Amino acid sequence: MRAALISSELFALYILENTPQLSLNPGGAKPLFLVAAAISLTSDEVIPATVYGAVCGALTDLESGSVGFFAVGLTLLCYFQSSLLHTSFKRNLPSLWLLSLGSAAVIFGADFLTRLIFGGVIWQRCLIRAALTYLCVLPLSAVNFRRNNDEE
Amino acid sequence: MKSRRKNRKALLLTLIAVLLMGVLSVGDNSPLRTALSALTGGIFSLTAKAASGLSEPSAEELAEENERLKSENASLQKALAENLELRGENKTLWSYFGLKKSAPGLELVPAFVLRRAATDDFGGFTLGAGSDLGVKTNDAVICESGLVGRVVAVDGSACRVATILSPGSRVAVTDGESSDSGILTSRDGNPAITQLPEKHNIKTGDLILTSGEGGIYPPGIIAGTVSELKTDPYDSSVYAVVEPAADFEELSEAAVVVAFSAKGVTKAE
Repeated sequence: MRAALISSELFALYILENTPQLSLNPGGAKPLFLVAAAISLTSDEVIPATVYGAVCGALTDLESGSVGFFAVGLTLLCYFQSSLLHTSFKRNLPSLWLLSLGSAAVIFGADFLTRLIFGGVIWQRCLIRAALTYLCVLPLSAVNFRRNNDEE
Repeated sequence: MKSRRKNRKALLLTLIAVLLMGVLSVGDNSPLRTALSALTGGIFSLTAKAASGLSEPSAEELAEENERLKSENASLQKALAENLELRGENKTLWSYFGLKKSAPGLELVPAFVLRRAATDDFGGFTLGAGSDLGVKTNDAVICESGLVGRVVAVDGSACRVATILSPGSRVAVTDGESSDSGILTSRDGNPAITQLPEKHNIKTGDLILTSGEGGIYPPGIIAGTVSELKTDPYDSSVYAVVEPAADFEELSEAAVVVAFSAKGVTKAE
């Protein structure tokens, strides 16, 4: 049931992210709702969180070319963040938000470097996109936070 | 310990699946992109039309814009006729409001803008016209205002368009006033004409048109107007910054040029 709801949520976010003129784009940059959703879903078990990361990353990549950067990046980030949240951190919203800040910094930092190396970077848009995406993580985390105790 | 091993195994399997998706998404008519376009194409047609309807101008604004466009078009036609060497027929822009004059062999496939990738900072988008309608990679894309860019990837029912703002974009252009030629490339996200002749007569306000050299873009399509002349600090060459004719962020429709007379013909040196 939860998987079905999350799939619907991800599909709706995919439509929202890619439909022209449907989401705000201050300074010409739009938030990556799928990246925000993937990061917010790391409160789930490690395996589902990893799969959500891969799916969200693949959908983000497909719109701009072939599956690659975000798919691999989010798979790894969601795996590590979910593992950390279940082992080394107290599993609550503030911990999730803190870890999400780090994850967002890593993925968007890597995105900026990739664009710099392979041509064509507008750093202001990269910064706005990163900030907007992290802002989307906050409410999405509250909605997607898995409240059941999953400790062994 | 057991769950950690299980998690690592799941991570490895997921990464293999991602690698497989990567392989299936490369190139034209890739199975993954074709399947995704087929699944979501209908939904995006509806949402794109609904979203563009939210920002529709009023009847008064449309009438005002229509008058302005008619007057601009008339002066552009006059400038083209006076300054360009034509073979006996004027060339004008294709308009989606019914204002069309035939150019030899020009075939267009009009389509709606279905999707815009949030990761694209250079105005790129996906058009609802694919290989089913004869669209191929490197086909030029235009709108009623002028040049947009070219097709960079195609699948069964859609194509991805990179605008002239994209890094790596190169368009052979000519100045409508002075007839100086150059290459329109992207510098820091803005189109600029480089490789200008040493003694050029380009000035601000000049109309820039595609020259047709290289056989990718049809000749005579308005690319923009010169907004500024600058000097490159590294090699002291002069380049002209161009204000594009098309508003890429607001575009809701465009047309793919699937054929024109000089397509694929490169001028021998």
